[in-house]
Amino acid sequence: MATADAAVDLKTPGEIAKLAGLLALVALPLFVSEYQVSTWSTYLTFALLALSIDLVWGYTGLLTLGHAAFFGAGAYVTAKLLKEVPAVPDAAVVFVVAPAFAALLTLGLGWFLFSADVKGSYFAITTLIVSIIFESVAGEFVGFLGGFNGIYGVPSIQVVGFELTATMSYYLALGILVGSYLFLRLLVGSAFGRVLRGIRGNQERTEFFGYDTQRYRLIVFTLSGAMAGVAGSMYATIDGFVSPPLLGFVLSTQVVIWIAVGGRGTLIGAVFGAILIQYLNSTLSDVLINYWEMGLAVLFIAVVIGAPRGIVGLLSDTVEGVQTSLDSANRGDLGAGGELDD
Amino acid sequence: MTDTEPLLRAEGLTKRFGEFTAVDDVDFTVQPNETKALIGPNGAGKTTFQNLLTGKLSATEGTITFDGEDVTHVSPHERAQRGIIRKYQITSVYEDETVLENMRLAFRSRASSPWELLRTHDDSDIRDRIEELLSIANLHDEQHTTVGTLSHGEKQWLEIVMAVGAEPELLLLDEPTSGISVGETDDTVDLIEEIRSKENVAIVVIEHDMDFIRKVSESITVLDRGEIIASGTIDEIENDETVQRIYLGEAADA
Amino acid sequence: MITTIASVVPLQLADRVLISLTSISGLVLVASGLTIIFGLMGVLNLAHGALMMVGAYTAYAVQSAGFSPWLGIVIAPLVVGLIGVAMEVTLIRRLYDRPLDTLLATWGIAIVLQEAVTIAFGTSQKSVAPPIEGSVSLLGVTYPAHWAFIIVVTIVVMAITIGLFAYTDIGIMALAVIQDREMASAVGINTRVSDRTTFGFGSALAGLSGAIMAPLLSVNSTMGIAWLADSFLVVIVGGVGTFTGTIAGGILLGGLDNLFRTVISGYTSIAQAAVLVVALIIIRYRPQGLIPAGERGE
Repeated sequence: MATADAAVDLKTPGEIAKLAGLLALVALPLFVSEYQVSTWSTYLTFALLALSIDLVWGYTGLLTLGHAAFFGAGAYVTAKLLKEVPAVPDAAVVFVVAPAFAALLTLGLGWFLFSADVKGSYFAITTLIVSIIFESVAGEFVGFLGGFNGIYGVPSIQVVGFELTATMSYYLALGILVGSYLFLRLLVGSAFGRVLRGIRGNQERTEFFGYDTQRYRLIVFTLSGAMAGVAGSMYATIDGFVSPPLLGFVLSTQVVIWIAVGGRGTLIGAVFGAILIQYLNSTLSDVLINYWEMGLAVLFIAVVIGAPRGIVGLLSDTVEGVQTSLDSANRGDLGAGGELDD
Repeated sequence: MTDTEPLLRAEGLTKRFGEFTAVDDVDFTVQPNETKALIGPNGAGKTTFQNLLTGKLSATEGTITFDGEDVTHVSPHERAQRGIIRKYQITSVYEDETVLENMRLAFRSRASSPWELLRTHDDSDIRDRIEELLSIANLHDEQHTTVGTLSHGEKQWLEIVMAVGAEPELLLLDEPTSGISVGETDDTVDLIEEIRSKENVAIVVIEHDMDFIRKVSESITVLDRGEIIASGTIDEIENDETVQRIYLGEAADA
Repeated sequence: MITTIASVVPLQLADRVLISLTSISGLVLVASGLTIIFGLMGVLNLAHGALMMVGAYTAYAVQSAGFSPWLGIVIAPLVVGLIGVAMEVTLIRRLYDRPLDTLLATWGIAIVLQEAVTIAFGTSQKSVAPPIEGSVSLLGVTYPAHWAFIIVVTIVVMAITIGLFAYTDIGIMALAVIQDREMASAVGINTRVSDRTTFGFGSALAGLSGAIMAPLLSVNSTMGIAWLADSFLVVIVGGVGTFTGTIAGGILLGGLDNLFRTVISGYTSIAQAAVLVVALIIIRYRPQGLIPAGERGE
């Protein structure tokens, strides 16, 4: 798993495919109804949640099964503020308050767990429990958080008195997603990202080279929490409705499945898996949905056992294999080039 | 040699696990640029002692002074930052990464803050240094090889040069020849000789193999049941009756 | 003896104690299979709750086919035990040294089981009749007989399981395999068969617990999720790898649950969340659990 250089090389098949995907997403509102644009917008917010989990799980090796808690926290705080505290500018809610709130939660939880070196399966189980706690607490506060019925009628984002249309919200969500992707790509391509992979590969070894791995884990977990918070916040403004399952463990694990199938530790796999699977989910009838969920679970199991880098990994290996056989003769050692995903 | 301030001084170092005393009142010093060997039968407390020096375990009693400062209660990563770097007995490298990525990770470890690491490219002096060390370890042509596919000996050498790349003042090598072939052992000797001649570093080698120790070190400390029972030159140790008894005894047991 | 206590203890308290005893027994019973699979074997089985759910549905299917509830209690562990053996043979075996992947793959299995049950039985809630109807009088309280049955079954199951691993050749062999695979193999134990049997036995206990608990619960395909989290917490908080730990974990968490429900009455979810918070704090500050397994040297 060589790291690609962070500089974008637009000539590799992987980069071309990503660019084509991006163009398709940009053009999408021209071809679908406004209602569908909103649905696709929510896909993009869940893709952002998937990116944030991939940073923690795929790169740093910390499997979080509770990240929906921070997504949901961002969604709830946004719903409350947009509905009841109009004095706070919407942009500030989405880009400052929601991420700050979620980051505070991850910072606190991260400190609580990492200072006792809770990792591996215990980290997975404790984060899962946190998600369950959040969900049940939100379900109980009927007056303040709407209980099991949640909060309806969250307004769209207003910028200086002007309400964003569904299409504008879509482009905003897409912009945030692409921006976050590019940012994370730079991050994981830097020496900082190498330390994260070091923690994933061998935490103790990394510690004994002099890296304060607790600090690194805390930074990454907090950053990821902030991203999940923005994602949840955008979701609330787009869907207009927040409820306890947004905080829950089922959503958390679902996203983990999307990432695994797409390809963990590749960033693009998280985005690809999240969008593809949500889209397929929506196209299936009620009769088929159980068979589909079952098939997806079987695919997930297969990927976990045999293809840890998911579909993106398989595709990139295939393309790389074809490329190598095509020009193996005249290709010298070009360093870390040729890697499709990052 | 003894008139300078030692690089490392352990005084009365003791580690107990419940009733069991793994390291018992050990005094141990290492001078700058000195190479010392630590030997002892299985279960003598060598690994525990090393874990106390690196901070993996905290001492029950006693103090550790490094570079004139008390580091007894300093965290492992902080000790590594100050220059105590270890190579594990069981090779501990990043199997999924390339040789080059492994080296780069070790090289940036003295950066004082995570924020210094938000750069994608290494300076040319770091690249030159990585090339130099990989050449010493005969791994220059394997830069883009995934480490998991290297031979056991190659992984050992990689971990040694990674440790050197982390700019140690004290390098702890835990059984650098364990599990590798005779030919590879000779290469390991050459590697350590090369490091001793080129680098400003004190080395403590923990080993079983006396032939190996004879080649890389002049001074030996013998540990048995958590206590230092002898120290001196190779010849002194080999003629020491207590040491002979312990090693013959172990041979008889085996 | 019982009558003397009853005459002293106020009725309400006796009521509480019995309810607590029942819920503690239920927790320990459901967690008992996980004690073997996670506690002893170290397999992070996120399908545990789903296995329990399948046990409950087996009981339902047997009853709705017109057979006695007792038959359901006998068949459920067999069916679920077989599913466990199949899981071990196809998946778990490949993952013994990959704990996080085990966790993910077993979650996949949990979903497969959930969806399979939904396809077979639909999404509606099912109710299951208890094998013993009627009530018994205990401590001066009239008490559903099935509750007493749960307590008795839990005691019997724990006693048998502890005895099995402590005194029988098969149990001791299983422990030997778990502790040192190579050594066990070297002395001629078939480690494959042993792993498969142990995993199957743990799964069978999950199935049994599902069938026994079903009459108290609303049976649906996602019922296992809550029990999954509870079971893991009972095992971890009690101390991974010991049966006494599981009992202690069950007593602490089940007891706290009842206590919080009484104190914060009307807010069941908050009470449950409070128990989870306590469990998190214990995991953080005492990861070895209340009753840790033997120290493992360095």
